[in-house]
Amino acid sequence: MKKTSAFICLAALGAVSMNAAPLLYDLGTPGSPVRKNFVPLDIKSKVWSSKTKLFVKTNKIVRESGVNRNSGRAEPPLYFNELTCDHIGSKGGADLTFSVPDGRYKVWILTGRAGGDSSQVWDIKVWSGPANAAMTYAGAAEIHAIELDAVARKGQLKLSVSTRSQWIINAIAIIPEKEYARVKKNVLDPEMAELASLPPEILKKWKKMPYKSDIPEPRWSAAEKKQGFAIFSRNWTEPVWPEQFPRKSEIGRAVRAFTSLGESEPMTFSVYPLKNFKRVTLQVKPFVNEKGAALAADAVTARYVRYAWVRPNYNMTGFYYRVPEVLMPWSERSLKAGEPLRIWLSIDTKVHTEPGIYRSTALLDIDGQKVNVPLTLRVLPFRLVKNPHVIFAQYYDHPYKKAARAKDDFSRQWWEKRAEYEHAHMRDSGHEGITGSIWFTRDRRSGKLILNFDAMQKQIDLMRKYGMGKFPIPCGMGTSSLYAYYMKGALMGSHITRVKMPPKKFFEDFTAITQLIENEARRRGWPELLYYPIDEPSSQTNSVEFMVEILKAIKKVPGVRTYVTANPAASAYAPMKPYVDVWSCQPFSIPKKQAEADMKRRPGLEYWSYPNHNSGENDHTLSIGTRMTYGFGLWQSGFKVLIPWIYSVTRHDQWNNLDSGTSDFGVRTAPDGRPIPTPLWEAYREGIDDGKYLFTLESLIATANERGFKKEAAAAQRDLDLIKKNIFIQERYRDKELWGADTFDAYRWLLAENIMKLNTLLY
Amino acid sequence: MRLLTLFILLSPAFFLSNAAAENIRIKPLDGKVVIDGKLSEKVWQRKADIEKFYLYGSKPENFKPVQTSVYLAFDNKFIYFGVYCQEPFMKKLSLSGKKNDDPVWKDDGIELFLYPSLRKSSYVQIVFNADGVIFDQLQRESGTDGHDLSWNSGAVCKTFKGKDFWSLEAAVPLENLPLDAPEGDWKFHIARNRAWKNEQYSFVKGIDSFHNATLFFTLSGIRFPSLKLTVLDYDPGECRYGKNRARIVLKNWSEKSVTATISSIGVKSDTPIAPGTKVLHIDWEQPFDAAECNQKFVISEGKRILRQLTLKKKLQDLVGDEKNAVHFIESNQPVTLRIPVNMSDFSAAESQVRWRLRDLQGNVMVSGMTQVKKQSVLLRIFWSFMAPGNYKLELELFCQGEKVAGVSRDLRFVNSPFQGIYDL
Repeated sequence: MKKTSAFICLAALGAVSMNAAPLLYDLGTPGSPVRKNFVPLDIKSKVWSSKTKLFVKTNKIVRESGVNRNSGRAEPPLYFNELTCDHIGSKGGADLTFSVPDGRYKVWILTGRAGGDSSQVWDIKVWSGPANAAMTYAGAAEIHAIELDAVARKGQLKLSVSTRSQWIINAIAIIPEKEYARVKKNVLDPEMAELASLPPEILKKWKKMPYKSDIPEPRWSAAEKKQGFAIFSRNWTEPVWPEQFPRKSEIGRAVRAFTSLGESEPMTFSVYPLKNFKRVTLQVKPFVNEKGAALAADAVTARYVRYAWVRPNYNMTGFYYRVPEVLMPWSERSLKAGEPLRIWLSIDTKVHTEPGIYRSTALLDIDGQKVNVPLTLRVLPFRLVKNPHVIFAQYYDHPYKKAARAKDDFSRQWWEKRAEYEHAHMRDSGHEGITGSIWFTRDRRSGKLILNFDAMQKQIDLMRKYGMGKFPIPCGMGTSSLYAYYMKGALMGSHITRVKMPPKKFFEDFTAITQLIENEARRRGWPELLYYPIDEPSSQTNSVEFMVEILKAIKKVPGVRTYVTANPAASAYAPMKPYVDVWSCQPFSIPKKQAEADMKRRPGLEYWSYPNHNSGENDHTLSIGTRMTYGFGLWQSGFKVLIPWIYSVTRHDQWNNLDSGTSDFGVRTAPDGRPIPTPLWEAYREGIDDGKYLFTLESLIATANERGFKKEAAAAQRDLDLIKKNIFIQERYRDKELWGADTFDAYRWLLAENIMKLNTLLY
Repeated sequence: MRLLTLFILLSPAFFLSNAAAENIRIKPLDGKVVIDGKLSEKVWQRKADIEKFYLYGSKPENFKPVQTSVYLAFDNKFIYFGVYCQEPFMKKLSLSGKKNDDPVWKDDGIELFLYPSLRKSSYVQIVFNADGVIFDQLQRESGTDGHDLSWNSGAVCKTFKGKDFWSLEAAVPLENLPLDAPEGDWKFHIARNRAWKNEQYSFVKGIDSFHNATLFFTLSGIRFPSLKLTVLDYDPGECRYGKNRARIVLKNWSEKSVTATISSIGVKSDTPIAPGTKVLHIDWEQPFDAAECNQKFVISEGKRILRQLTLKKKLQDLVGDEKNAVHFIESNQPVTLRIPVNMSDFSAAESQVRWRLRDLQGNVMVSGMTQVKKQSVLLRIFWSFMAPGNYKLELELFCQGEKVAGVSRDLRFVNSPFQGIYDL
């Protein structure tokens, strides 16, 4: 790579003045590939101050997939291009000076896709005079562009870079302010679009499957045509797809919601742009009731729905489409003609909020046009009660694992803080538990048992801090490692399809280790551990035979319970039944009556569900089925726990669902480690709230009966029965045979009316 | 934890544009083949057309690959397959299938996927176990939905078992395959099941499902000059109550008129098809009193069956239930209900729903007659002094003036949480 700091006049950018031309630098190793439109800038360039201690790293540009040894499936590499394949970075500060004509500039900096250590948290802050821009992100794949204003004086433009851990830069663009919009549109935005999906040569082999909406284009009013947009409101359970028109009935529809005390409730509305707009700002005025009392200042959280490319299935490649996927914290937006912008407000009421009608206004400024969207919230005079016999939990990839591997304090603290934020988020959304694991093995040479309780202790401490200390923890075990020890390094294969029966000593050892874990768990006062030796065993004979023996080995320890992720309704698993205490399966595969009878007949037996059809593992948009599963569906299932896989899964870049062998999904993470929810997460939360409405009314009916208000109790019971009768009972609630979006609210309101009636009667 | 179900959305355009697949050119038969399982004929005494097979799924410990060689040929009537399967453990062969259409894909054997119909995603799967037992089916669309087990390839297969190998010879009649044209490229896939060892092999590296037609190879060079009539498209219709209409697109490749015979619900009709493409519409009735649709369609030319399709499915209730029993009542606004009606569009145009809303004392609050449209009837219920409470909605469905169904639904009307509240 040749050293250069000359002005670059780029044909692709059109004719520009030689006095102030865009400078586009591709940072990295001398001799490495350089991106079209960019010029190389290496570590020896004069732009760096002499004090700066820099490092440089190069990653190979590979397009061929490898094969995942365990699954046999193709596994794509982390895709780099000329811009991202190498970078310059440092653990300390750095100063850069560019020789440019005096004037105002925009500086664009590309940072990320470092490759390597997934536990590293990258942190960069760039200053130019008083202006600055910063970004923090984790792992090997994430990539961001940051932008800041800069002024060149005396022929120099200075940048200072600082970090709390390490920073890297892949590219820098220094663009005269007047040229910025054009360069961004022609060069920088296409670069970012490519980095957010797949390299063009890979993407061209994929087939785009646009969502087909059956909503016709409405007849726009003269006012809508004149202003260039329409405001519409759709029930939050129904997605607003990119390139989808609003229904005629949704345009101008009131934005309203009702809520109990201490509940969080979504209120959404959307802007359908008939043309492009550069800048949309939002301000939500305080919610004020008839008496002038206002909801707390922090009652409203504003977000917008981010569209993302996804595949139709978690591990499918070759097909992709665009969906509304993540609820991003609100920030100033631009609008593209024909692509709706959905604004998603979460309104949190406190338990002591005065009931009544609260009104507010969302003020939109769309390129100078002011729009008022009226918002009405009815706060009901009661608190909800949760059924203590059902539990909501999550499979969880604990950030503490990465914290333990992190090489610097900032990274470690970031992962630890992230775990705190996520626990708080789960708790605030009605979740009471997560999965855990105790890994163990024996040293190949000495046979010494290697086992660590302290990592689990730390996780349990955090669970307790956030009120999850009573949840029986499905606890993964080091089964495959111990198997390899006794079977000369053999692998069990995906879903233990290759497992062979190990010697008796293996099972004896397994019992002894389980006893050891159980003793320690009791000594430390941990919640109950549910011993979870294998995830999703196959139904092959060899798998089932192995499962029977390993479950027997665990059950030899007095008082412990086992946890198995398999369908109890499948006949192939019948031999395991006597040894399984907790069946966890995806569908509600056991009918309610049978589930309840089985659990009554055998104390300790429980049916749990991990409804991955609702978690976003495949379809990222099934909010309505998710709400059904978590509320009315669970109510009529007989299952005790919902524990989907998984709270959050990031393969490569969390903002790119196409770039790895399997898709990202679930909650995402902001630069400060705080969770960014999805509509599906909100559907969990709202479904849980539906369940609370049901349980609150059931409890009041029981109390009314006890106190002799038989007639009133019977009337409320009739309404409950009416709802029960009108549920399409299904094993998996997705998007078929479900109530309409507004029907959920009608049923919830029926419950609320009855709750208020009985509350008035009883209290 | 991963969802193991893989569903594949396939479209014809994708198959045709999939440039990644490799090409295999089939040769015309040189000499004759006696289908006896022994690869002794001259046609098999050459380099095999396919010799490289890849293990499907994860590699087991102590993995030792075995040889599989495939030979291909065709003549005016058949496509021939000769397959050599090395097997050092012949005594361990797992063979449970005894008669045709037994699930022999679980056995040691060979699976063929022939995709000669590229306009529609219609391909055939033919499985031979090492005893020569055949399973065959027509796959329409993707995955396991749309498979037609009633389809028969008419294939003949024999196998031969040696000391450390077994071999197979099969002849698949061209006339039974879902061909679109007398010549043109096909897609195909061939796989080997080594069931006793729980190993599967495919000649397509990294294929994620044997049915993933996007990764099938191209088979070129095959010709069937005697083919006159082909089915380019067929759609049996809505398969709902009432009058349904099937649509069949035929192409006559010859220069003379050909007679197509269409058999639908036991009624045969002959239609002359002039050279070129012709679209036929066949009307058929689904009786209102049947709980399931069970119809068979056969399209043939002389003795040759071009397509046969059995439609068998449980029908939804004629008058469905939207399960929305609770409705808000708001000032001067009707309560709107969309009741599903599982009736064909043809019959819906001649059908109405008579409805009555009664209170719990049996008083009729309001009634009406509404036309059925597009599988549903839209009711707008409104009367003066609408009040919250429990009601019963009675529905009677009439088709051509005759009552064909009657149901009732419990409804609950509640005041809206925003009754009387106006937005700013």
